[in-house]
Amino acid sequence: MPVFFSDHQYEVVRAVCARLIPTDSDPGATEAGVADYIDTLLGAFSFDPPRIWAGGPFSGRKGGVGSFSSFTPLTALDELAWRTRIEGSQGRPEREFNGPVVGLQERYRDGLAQLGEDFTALTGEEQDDRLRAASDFTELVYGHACEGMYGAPEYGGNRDLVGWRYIDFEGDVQPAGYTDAEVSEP
Amino acid sequence: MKRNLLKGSVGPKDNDSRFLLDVHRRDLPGEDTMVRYDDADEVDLCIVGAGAGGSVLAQRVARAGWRVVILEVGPFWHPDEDWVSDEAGSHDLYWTQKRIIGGTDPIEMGKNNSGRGVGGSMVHYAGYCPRFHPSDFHTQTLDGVGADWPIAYEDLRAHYETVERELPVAGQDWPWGYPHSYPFSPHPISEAASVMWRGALKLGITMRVGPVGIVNGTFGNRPHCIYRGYCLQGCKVNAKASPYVTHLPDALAHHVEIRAGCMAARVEIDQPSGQATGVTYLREGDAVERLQRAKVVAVAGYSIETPRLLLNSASGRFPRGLGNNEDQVGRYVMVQGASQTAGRFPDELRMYKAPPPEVSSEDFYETDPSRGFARGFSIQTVSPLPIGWAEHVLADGHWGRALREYMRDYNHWACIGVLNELLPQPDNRVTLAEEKDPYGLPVARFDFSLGDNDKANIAYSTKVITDILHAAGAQDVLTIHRYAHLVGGARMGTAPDNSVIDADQRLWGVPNVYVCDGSVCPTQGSANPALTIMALASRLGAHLARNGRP
Repeated sequence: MPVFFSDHQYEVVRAVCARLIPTDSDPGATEAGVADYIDTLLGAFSFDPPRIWAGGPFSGRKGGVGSFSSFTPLTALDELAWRTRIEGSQGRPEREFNGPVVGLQERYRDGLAQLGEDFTALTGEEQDDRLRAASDFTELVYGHACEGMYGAPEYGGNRDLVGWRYIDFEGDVQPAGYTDAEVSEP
Repeated sequence: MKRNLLKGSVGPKDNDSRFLLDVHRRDLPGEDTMVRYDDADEVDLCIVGAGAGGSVLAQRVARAGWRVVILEVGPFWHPDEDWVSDEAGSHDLYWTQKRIIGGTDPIEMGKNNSGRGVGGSMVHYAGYCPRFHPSDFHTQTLDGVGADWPIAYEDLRAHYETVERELPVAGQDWPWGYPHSYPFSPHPISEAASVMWRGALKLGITMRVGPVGIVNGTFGNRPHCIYRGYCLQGCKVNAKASPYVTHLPDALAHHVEIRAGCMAARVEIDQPSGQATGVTYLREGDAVERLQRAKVVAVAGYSIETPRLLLNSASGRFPRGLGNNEDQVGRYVMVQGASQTAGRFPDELRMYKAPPPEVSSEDFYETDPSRGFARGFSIQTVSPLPIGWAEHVLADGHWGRALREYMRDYNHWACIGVLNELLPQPDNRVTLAEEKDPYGLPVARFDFSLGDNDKANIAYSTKVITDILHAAGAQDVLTIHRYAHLVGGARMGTAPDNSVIDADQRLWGVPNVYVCDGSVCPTQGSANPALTIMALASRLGAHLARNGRP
């Protein structure tokens, strides 16, 4: 169940991400759950603490006690900044010290509308044409898709580490790290 | 007879930071126990900014008995929780508040030219610590471009040596500029770096390992680098040098208070005498203006925020901004060209398994008239993590299946970059914009345009690194153009009509205000600025301490 998108919007985002990072012989954006990453980012404040900063110190994937999955509470200024970024300024004076801000949520709503209700029914080529026509929105999703694909899985993407596995990247290696031999002889 | 000491066996004098660190926690020792001053206490020195410049200055004068308050707009970090090894999770380390950019080549502000929070941008810098060359201090005399500093390399040399022991810097003996060696041996290098080195060798280009401010061995309570590859996300190991581990522990143990979450609004001037009386600041989430009284003020906010604070400090004696009666504040801001070229190789290289900068060359640092432009550039390897690599690929225009192929080959790619010495121009400057920040203070506007010499330098250097990749056997090459670092904006000089501060970094016309950060540099060389900023702060600290408490 998406926390921010409607079911249909979620399907469109999935389809967009599948064009940007397609599945081939290896898993792509769909398998990595990139749409879930984006949905979690846009709906970060539905969680307590908000899913903005993963905790630490260790992921647990290379030893130590895993604590990335417990999120860090935000300071008041962090919350102001991230709410402004995600929700937009919405006419609230405390968020408008630099004028109105269009938030990520609104940019996604508008961008998805621009791609069209029928986006998921189109062929891949037709979808690419729509993405090129909506280049500002495509660039925004691209950045998020890369984060969801190649970022830490605690944020909702990179499910089962598929994003790292296919590029053979180990991710966080604390506390073990690499030995001199591993650095010099990959 | 030459005595041979084991490298690393001699630690810095008069700085116990490495012993004050807790081996089990990465928090800054002293955050809970440091001295706290009242606003009404007239402290000896109030510093604005807890980065490379402010931290070293505080540590130096604190050791001489001065009572010091540092105002820092960002937070104290708690690295165990705050700095996750998470490529996308590090954006709060940068200064991401609004700034206006303009000029014909507007500079993107953020991750590689700003810092916020205790420790400043060295918290997320790559660790690269080269010195400037002696020629950098006299480019006008030697090459007819840039500016001459009012000081020479010899004035900084002892401070370079001291700071290199404090960080400590690891690297091979350095043949360029003023030849020197480093206190710690060079780190082992990754396969990606050795491939680049082989390519350079074929072209007759000399390369060396380091110098990086990353512990190779142990250093007090700081451990050996574990080569996890996340230097740019904040070192959670305490192996990489930043003021958080190198100078602030000692400073907090010697009567320095860091007041985090405090934004400096202006430096206050007593109009009859023209002396500064302190710094007015605002606490995060509180609209009340407070005044920290101080006998001496040092501004250390870096090349954007230092000019902004001076310009925001206009008063009757200085109607155009503090120290700006000659319209010099904010001028001559420089960035370095930082193009990067990536090459695809048949073998797996795994560029991330090491500190991002590993081997480098300064063969092209000095002017060579046959190249058709003045001054030069340095060459350094770099190693983007996967999201950064995907963005590098996008910058070349690829997504969909092409992106997949580039990403699948991540471990086959290696990157090398340049740092170009771009020349100082009076119109590349910081001014105040109409817009305000959350504290109600006008934000900075930064205009930047490349000159013809700059463009020729960038074009030539990009060809050299592309040639290195081809000589190394790269099968495919992707080049992107970008910029890094900042210096200038409150430069030192010989007179008020050509500079903002004098050779002692004192503001012209104000006897007790100093500038102590990268903005003081009249030229920038092709060297990453962190070590030089620290060395300049060390020199200023020695100068102030020599005269005793104010």
